[in-house]
Amino acid sequence: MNAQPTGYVTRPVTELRAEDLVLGYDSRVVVENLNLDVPMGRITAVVGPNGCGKSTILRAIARLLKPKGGSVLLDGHAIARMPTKEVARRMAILPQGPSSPEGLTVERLVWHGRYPHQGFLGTSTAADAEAVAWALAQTHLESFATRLLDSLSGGERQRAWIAMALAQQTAVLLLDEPTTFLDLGHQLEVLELLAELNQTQGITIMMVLHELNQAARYTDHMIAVHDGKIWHQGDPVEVLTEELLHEVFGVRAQVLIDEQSGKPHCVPLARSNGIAEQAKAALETAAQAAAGRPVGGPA
Amino acid sequence: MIGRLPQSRTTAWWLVVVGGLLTVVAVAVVVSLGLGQVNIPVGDVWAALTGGHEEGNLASRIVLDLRLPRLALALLVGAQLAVSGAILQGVTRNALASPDLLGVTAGAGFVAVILVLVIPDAPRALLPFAALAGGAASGTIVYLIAWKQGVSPERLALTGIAVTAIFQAAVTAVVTLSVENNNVQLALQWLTGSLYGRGWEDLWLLLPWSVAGITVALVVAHKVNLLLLGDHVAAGLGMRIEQARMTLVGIAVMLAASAVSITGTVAFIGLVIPHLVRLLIGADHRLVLPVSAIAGAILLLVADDIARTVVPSLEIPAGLLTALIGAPYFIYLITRSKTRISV
Amino acid sequence: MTSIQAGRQPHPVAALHFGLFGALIIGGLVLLALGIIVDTNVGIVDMDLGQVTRALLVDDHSQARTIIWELRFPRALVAALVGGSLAVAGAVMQALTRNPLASPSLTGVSAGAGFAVVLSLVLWPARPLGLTPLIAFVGGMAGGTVVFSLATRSVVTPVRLALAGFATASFLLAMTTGLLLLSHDTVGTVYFWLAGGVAGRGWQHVEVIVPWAVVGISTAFIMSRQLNILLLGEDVARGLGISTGRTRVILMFLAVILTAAAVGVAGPIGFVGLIAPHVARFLIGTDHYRVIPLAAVFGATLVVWADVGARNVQRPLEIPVGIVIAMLGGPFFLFLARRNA
Repeated sequence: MNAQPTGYVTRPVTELRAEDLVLGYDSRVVVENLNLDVPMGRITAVVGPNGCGKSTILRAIARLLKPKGGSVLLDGHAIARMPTKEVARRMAILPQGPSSPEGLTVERLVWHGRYPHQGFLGTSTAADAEAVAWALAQTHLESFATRLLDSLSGGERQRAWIAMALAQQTAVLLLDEPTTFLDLGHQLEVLELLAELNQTQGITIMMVLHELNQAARYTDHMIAVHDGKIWHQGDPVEVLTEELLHEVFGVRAQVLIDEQSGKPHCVPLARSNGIAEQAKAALETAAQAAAGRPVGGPA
Repeated sequence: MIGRLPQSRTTAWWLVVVGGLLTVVAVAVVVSLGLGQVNIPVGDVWAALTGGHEEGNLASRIVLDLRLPRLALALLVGAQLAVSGAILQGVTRNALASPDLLGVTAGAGFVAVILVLVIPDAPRALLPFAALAGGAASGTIVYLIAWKQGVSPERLALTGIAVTAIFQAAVTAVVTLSVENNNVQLALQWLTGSLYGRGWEDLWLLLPWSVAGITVALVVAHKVNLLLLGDHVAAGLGMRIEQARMTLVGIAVMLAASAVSITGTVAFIGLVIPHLVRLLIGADHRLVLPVSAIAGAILLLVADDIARTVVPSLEIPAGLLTALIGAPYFIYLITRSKTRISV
Repeated sequence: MTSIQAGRQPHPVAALHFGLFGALIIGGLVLLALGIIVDTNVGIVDMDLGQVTRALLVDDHSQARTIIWELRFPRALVAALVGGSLAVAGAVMQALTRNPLASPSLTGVSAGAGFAVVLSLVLWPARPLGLTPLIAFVGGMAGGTVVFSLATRSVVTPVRLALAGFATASFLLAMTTGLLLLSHDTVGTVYFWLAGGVAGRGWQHVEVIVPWAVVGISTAFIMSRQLNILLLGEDVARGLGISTGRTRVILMFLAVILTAAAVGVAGPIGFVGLIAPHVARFLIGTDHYRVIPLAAVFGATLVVWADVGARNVQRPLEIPVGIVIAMLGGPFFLFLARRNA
């Protein structure tokens, strides 16, 4: 259930989409003619194998990567032409593996999140203080405020970075692999927090995840990327299929529906074209031929 | 590509390249011998070399006594510096490394300046040995300071920069405090690097280092290839990393220190030549090292030729010229749009 | 780097923090003032500290006043301003590149300035000495730009910046030394300048450096927020709405002009820009609103006291201040290099 945004989101966003996006690095084109509409008020996961372009797409939407063609539109305006501070008031990004400088406390980190709302001289207002307090409360970090960032555990640190993004009070939150390098407990800590934020504040969340089951479980909308193109997108039940695993990941798997959550859950069995598979296919072909049936027909 | 020759290049191709380069060297040598205050036609040069002249012939004397040793030294020093630079760029995995980085040149310079300015009565002949000792000691100091359960490329580079800075400041201090000294010119000349007045004695001094150093370098070149894969990978492949690094750095120090002890600080060959060579033939160091040697030799030879002939009666130090030649390439490096500087 | 490391110790409360900062600033300023007075006291004509202080404060047209005010005091002032400028330039460089080993001297500015000065002397032997600061300035800018371009070709890692600076500086030094060979008579004065020092600097030098120092340091202070956020990484900074490209250019420019102004007036003095920010951060953390003023004060104090030392070590001979600082700074840099790599 996605609640209406409360007064904390100061600049609501009604539309975020990519139009005919062409992305690449140097002379290499990684993504071509991508069209994507980020569902507002929901949690979207971008999944895909290594090198498929999912991080590239997220970065482009976050305006961290300049597209070679096409554009990203925020409420109908081209994001590239908007002042970057304006964008920052509507959209927050948590990149992969952010660096924590020495001597930085949680509190100061979260305060940095107010930068887009502050003027040139950076004077703080009551609204700023409120936002920081709210962000710390949402991430359950009030008692950690004066702690040094590098003295926290992985999960706690990630929550602190999320708190900073929250202090930006944006309608949209983009995260690039927020759970990589965290152990299972901390992974769930972060995902549950994001789900809670989406439920109570209606914040639109889009994140790149590499763990398929987590993506299916904690998101409303999944986008599977393959070779720089959207292979399929929609409800996790529709996207996380055996076909996806075979065609995009090259894995033979079984997809079950988890009774408790109603979400799909995949159990990988083997590589689609692994040796075991090839041997099995060869045996089947031989068996079919021996039985006089046309080869390649149903087993 | 590391570990075996690229498929696209056959042995024949390589023979052509190396053969071509050696021909260029030979031609350059013969031409250079003819250049100078007294221009000697090629025929006479050839005659002098092959002993066709009688004893005491002026052309012969110039070619054989003055120019030949100097040119040979230019070839050797250029080769040594280039190989040293190639090794260091591979070991530190950074394309901006050079023999100067390890404090070798700065240390040699410091000792040389002390000798020239502070102990003027010492025999001139002592200078190469002192400089060699200074350079070798400095390189060793850098290595030891950088040692913390092993030497990482980054620590080596940063330590080298720090030690170089200290020695350079010391040199500045000594020169500044000895400004009244008549030998300041000499000191400065040494600090810039020059082949002026180098003769057969200098050549004999350097030759054993050249032969030993370059030969050993060629033999252990493949280790650089492995180190380039990264410490963990190389170790996984069974290489003893610290030992290999120590050997390679040791050779680089030896090559640079001995070269610098003869000519003084010659800039840029060790930095620029390996770059160019890698651009042309890739990063297989079994090939990069020998080709760098030849290219470095040619560069210094040409630089010295220009240095001693471009302005009549003025001996421009070759080191100044290599810096000038290196500069455009340096600027080119800066303006390239390629975003990765890596070996 | 800070004294509070791992473990679950709570960080000192913010209020205490300001107390520490205030104490350090005041302490630093006192030390600085003392250093200026002591530095002003050194000279051929012996005076006691009482005389010196009186001469500084009261214009009684005495000979003492003339000596103190015209000769010695401006020199000490230049030392302080140079130290402060270099320290802030170093702090900016270190934040900009997220590299604790960055410093103005490793960024080609000093080498560029030195080369420009020597080149101008060779090409134009009769040029007025008053032009030195300007020439050094331009040369410094060029040098800094070269290194910056070279280092930012790919990811700016500590080693990459250091090596880019080293390569550029070596190159410029080689050319500088070579050029010196072609200008026999000026070697002495040029080398003295190259060593870096404040001997003979007067009010005209103060006038040259004050505007740059004031504008540079205050701008750096105002941009502390951007500096703080840049430390969080490129992506996070952009996500927060900072145009990182433009901000970096402005900050780099700031660092370069501060350094170039300092080098123009006092010659290439190394290591101040490296040490001062480090000590400041060690004492007060990484908030640039605090680091910048503290580094400035500390840098100024360092150079002033180094000048006292330089003038007293071999009386009546004067060692250039740059050498003393290099002798102190070199080993410190070594220590840092070992620690950081």
